[in-house]
Order: sequence, then structure tokens, then C-alpha cells
Amino acid sequence: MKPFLIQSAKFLILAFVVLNAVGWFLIQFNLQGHAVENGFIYDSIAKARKSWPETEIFLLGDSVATQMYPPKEYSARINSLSMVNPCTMAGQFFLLDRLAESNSLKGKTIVLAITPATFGMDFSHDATFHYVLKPFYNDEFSPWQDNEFINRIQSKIIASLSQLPIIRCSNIIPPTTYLNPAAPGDFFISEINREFLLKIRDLVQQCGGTFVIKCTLQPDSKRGTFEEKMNADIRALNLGEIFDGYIDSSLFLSDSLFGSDKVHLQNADDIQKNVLRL
Amino acid sequence: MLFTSTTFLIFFCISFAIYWGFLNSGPVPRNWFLLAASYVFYGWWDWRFLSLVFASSILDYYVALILGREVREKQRKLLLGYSLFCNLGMLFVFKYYNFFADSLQAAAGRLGFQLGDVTLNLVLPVGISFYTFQTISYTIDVYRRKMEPSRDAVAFLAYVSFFPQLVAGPIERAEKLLPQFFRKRIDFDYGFAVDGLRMILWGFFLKAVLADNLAFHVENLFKPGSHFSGSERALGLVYFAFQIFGDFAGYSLIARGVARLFGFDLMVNFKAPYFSRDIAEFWRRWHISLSTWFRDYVYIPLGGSRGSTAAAMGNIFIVFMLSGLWHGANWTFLVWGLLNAALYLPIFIFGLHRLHHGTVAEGRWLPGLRDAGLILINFSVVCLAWTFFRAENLGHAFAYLSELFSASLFSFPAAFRGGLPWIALAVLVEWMDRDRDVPLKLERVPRSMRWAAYSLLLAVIYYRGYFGERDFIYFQF
Repeated sequence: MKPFLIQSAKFLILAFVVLNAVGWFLIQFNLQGHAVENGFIYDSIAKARKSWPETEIFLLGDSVATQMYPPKEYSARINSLSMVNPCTMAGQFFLLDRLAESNSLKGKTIVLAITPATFGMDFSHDATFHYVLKPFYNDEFSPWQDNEFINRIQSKIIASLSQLPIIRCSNIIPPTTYLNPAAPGDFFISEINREFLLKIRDLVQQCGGTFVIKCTLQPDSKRGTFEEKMNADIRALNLGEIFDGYIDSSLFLSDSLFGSDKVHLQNADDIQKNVLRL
Repeated sequence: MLFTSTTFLIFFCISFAIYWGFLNSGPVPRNWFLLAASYVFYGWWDWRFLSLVFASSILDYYVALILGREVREKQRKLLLGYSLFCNLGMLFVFKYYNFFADSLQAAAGRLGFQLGDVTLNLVLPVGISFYTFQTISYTIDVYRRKMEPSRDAVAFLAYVSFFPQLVAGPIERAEKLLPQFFRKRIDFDYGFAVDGLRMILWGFFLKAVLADNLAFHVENLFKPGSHFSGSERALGLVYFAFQIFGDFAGYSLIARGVARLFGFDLMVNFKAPYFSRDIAEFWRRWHISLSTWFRDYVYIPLGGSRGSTAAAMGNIFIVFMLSGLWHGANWTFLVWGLLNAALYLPIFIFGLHRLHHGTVAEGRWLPGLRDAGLILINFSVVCLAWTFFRAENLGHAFAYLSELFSASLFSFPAAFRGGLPWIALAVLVEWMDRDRDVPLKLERVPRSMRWAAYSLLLAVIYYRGYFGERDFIYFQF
């Protein structure tokens, strides 16, 4: 038994080293998207590192925006860097900062295409570790992480562990109890998303760009279900300027085009190209 | 509790430590512990169904005890009949009742009679077909006086519920596995345990990487009402063939590996089945524990091939039909079984069913042209039969096949090519290990290289595998 345990321990140490080396390789060559769930967000991150002089409109967004404007398809005048909703506005902000470092945003339009429900996300989401910490809590994005963001991650140890290659390239998602989410509010938008949405707006303005929020496609059955509440909240939170036109320009389509969650499109090929007419 | 879940990893580590740390003083504490661990393992899924495992085990324990001392043939037959009635009755109620009730209702409807809802709201207990067959084989063996009945209830209960193979086999015969529970002392065998780890490693690749990556494509390609080109449909069949192989052979390997780490030897359940050169060889290599069960407890008692050719053909049909139904209560499984019988019978009639016995291309790197051609033809035929196994219903299967055999069969598949690298890796390793019971041995490779290869395979499993979400397909059987 003893030799078995010793040899097993030796092998596990070797395996740990090899797994980390493979993970490091995947990160260096931007291949971790092949290993993790919804890995296409790494395509968007990779796009943010490049210069796109011909682009007029940069589109950020959630998973529905990704269906409408797949990052692999839109890389010219309209350039999609959409991700998924657990990335929160914090992730979108870090991505935009990275984009602003590689590109001049002067005269460009930054469109944020978001489903209304996405605004409610905060760090209490199960996937925060996977979609915020793993991709963004690292040296590349640290210049834009202020104390407020860091303070929300109470346990620095587990947050740092997210950067081990063996964790970063995996689908391991520990429970989020170590995070410090905002207290659930009465508004449609979470405190974290509100805070980072304002930062996104300010960043675009500083860079000389134009910031627009657009609503993703909605099923007919949702017509009239969220507008009144959102309008009231927008007035109460004094966000009228940012959300100008968000509700009025919402496009509603037949429910049959949507999946069972009534959020995602059943088949993105069913809708026309550049459906938001950007 | 899935083998690929974190819960199982914790369960295994604790059980392993207690087992080897404290319990090797004799069979009594060891068997009590294995029984408790196995019941925790099964109860994790749904503790209420533990009563079924217990009832099935205790029934056959006592029936076998009485059979052991009973000398009157009529009484012995009655006892055997009672055991079969209870075990098969339980299987029928939980697995087949709704199927037959539905079919009866539909048939009555066609004749103009309206029956009310006669179906029962029952959940299929995981692994019921496996442990029921295991207990039936024990009672029949005692009835045939092939073995003595166990007088140790705990050892017998531990044998039936032995957690590595409880929910998806291999269906172990009592004469092979039960004596292992009576050993006075089990010494930890380094080589035996390391081979177990190799089985677990390759089993994880087959399940978490091969089967679960292909499952995504298969789900799309087999979606009812979807339309694809013939070549994509063909790819769907190849993917499903490897998905079900990876899923089931992977489970069997993990089961054998885990059992070895507890000092138990389970039978080989899959022996490179897709390198078979005809359908008879395929059935000697695919789900061996089930094929041999049907051979020993159905085919031979029915007369096997001893009578006329017509009688033997009838027996073969019955065995394949039952084998199809064993997999599930659906007409698709029945047709799949009968289709295999139809493929088997011609070579049986011409006496060619024992033509290919040994390992293909033994001692050589590559097969000859004839063997390669036969393997390819046999694999294609097996894949076609899988259509019925995977389809939701017969209409779906025929719709799938009609799209498969279209002009676009010879076009290049536009999508779904992502599963091919995993199949290539699986085929390569399975080919290298085709004549071995233990995979990934790499005996002639220096240890440092071997460990590096294992670590890289572990990295593939870790980064490309799916864990804890997808059930093993064979759990439903």
C-alpha cells in the first residue's frame, strides 16, 4: 500500500504541473475558449486586444446580443465583442477599457445590446467566478479594477486561485458565498451594474465616442410587461440620459422564434442580418 | 452518484481510506462496510429504491438456501419459478408495464374500443435490469447445482449491491464474484491496483471526453424534424456509435478499475467491438456480460443450436428480441434487436459465425486489406442498426434513414466535424490495446515517458471532459 500511495502522490504532483503547463499554453495562445463553457467570450476578449481602424460601431452585449451579432461574423463596420450576462457590466467595462487601449474610440459608436433581465445580474450569480473572475481578475485587466471592485471580492485567496491556469481554463465553479454582492434592490438594475454602466458611459465620453444602449429582440408576450417598471426606475435613479430610447426602440417578434426561456432565440438564422439596423 | 462527479470522488477517497486502513482483518467487517458503502452509493440517487435492491437480494438469498437443501425436483422447480416470477415481475412492473399498457390502449383504440388511462406513474429505478439479472443468474446456478448457495447473507447482499457495478454492470456471475467476498484477507496488490487506475483513466476519457463531446452533436443530428445532408446523417450515426461505446465501455472500465482498487476483479465487458469482422464477432465483444447471460440462461436452455436449424434460428430470434427489449420498453429497441438477429442469421446458417475468433491483425501494426474491408462493412452495418436504438420512434428512424440514403450522402459534411479528433484518438488507443484486458499499459515505454503520456491524457480529460451533468446512457436500462 505504501509504495502505491507514494507513487500516486508523485504522479499527482507531476499531473498538477502538466495540467498547469497545458493551461498556461492554452491561455498564451488564446485557446482557453476551447476548454471552457461559453468560451466564445475569449474570442471577444481577443478582439479587444486588436486594432480595428475600419470599425464604426463596436457592439458589446449579452448572450442574446451574441446570437444577433455573433463576434465571429461581425468584424468590419459593425464589430461585435458581445459576451454573456453573468459577465455583468463590470466585465463589459473591463472589456471596453481593453478595447480603448488598443483603439481610438473617437467618433466611434459603442452600442451595448442588453436584455432587460441582464441588468438585474450582480456578483451573487453562480457563474460570477467563471465569467468575471477567471477572464478579468488578472494582470491584463487590473489597471481598471478599483478598490470598490476589489472590495466586493472578500476572499482574495479564492479570487487569486481563479488565476491558476488549471482553474482558469476549466469549468470549475465554486460557490459564490465568498463574494459580496450588492443588497438586492427594488430596481430593475443591480447596484453593481448601475455603478459600472455609469463608468462605461463616462469612459466612452472621455474617449470622444457615442454611447447607446439597445434592447435585444423581445418576444411578443413580454410586450407591456417590463416597460412601466423600467421607466419608473429609470426616472427614480436618474438614468434617463443613458437609457434614452432603450424602451421605445425595443423590437418585438413572434414568441415562436424564441426558446423555452423566452429570452434566447431558437435559431439565430431566423432573424435578418443587422436586425437592430445599426 | 455519477462516477464523473465530485461527490463520487469524495465518496471514493473516504471509502478507500477506511477500507484499507481499518477493515482488512477479515471478511465480516469488510463485507459490512462494502454493503453500507454500496447502499449509500445507490441511495444517493433515490434511497426509496434501496428497498427494491434489498428485496431482490434477500429473496434470492433465501430461495437459493432452500434450493440448496431441497432434493425434490418438483419443489425445486417451484422455488425457481417463484424467484423468476418475483424478479421478472418487478422488472416488468417498473420497466415494461407502461409500454405494454400503452400498446394495448393503442391497439384497442384501433379496434374501436376506448380504454381509460391504464398507465402507472412510475420512475424506472436505476440499474434494475442489471441487479435483477445478477440475482436471477445466481438462483439458476444454484438450481443447476453449478454452485453452492451462500450462507452468509451480508456477503451475498454485498455481492448484489457491489457499488462499482451496481447500476450499469458488468452483470457479474455469482460463481466469479461471490467467492471474492469470502476471501479471508485481501492483500493490496500494487500492479493490480495500478492497472485499475489505468482502466479508470481510459474510462474517463471514453465517457467524459469521447461520449459527452459527441453527445452534443448527436442530440442535434437526431433532433426529430430536423433536416441534414446524407453525409451529416452518416456522421451522426458514426458519432452515436462512438458515443454509446464511450459511454458504456467507459462506465464498465471505471467500474472495473474502482473494483480493483478495492481488491476485486470484474469481468471484461467490451473487447474492441468495432474492430469485429462480422456481426457474430461483434456480439462476442460488445456488452459481453449481457451476451453471455442470454447465451447461458436463455439460448442454451431453449435448446441452443442442438436441434434443427429452424429451431436454432428461432432461438436466435428470441434471444435478440429479448436483448432488444432488455435495453428499453420501446418498439425501437425491439426492432434493433430483431435487426441484429436478421444480420446474424445468414452467417449462422452458413456456419460462418465462428470464423473470426482471435485478435484482428495479431502481432501486426495494421490489418490486411481483407480484414480492414470486413471491419468497415461490419461497422457500417452496426451503425445502421444503431439508428433504431437512438431514434425516438420508428417513424423517426425511417425518416433519418431516408435522409441518410440521399444523393447528399457523398457530399462533404458542412458541420459537426468537431467530434472527429476524439474518435481518432479513441480508435488509435483501442487499436493498440485490442488484444489486452487492461488499457494504456505501455509496458515497453520508460516510466517517465509513460507518466508524461498519462498526464497529458489527464489534461485532455480535465480540459475537454464534461463532469457531473450527463448521466450514463446505460443507467436507464
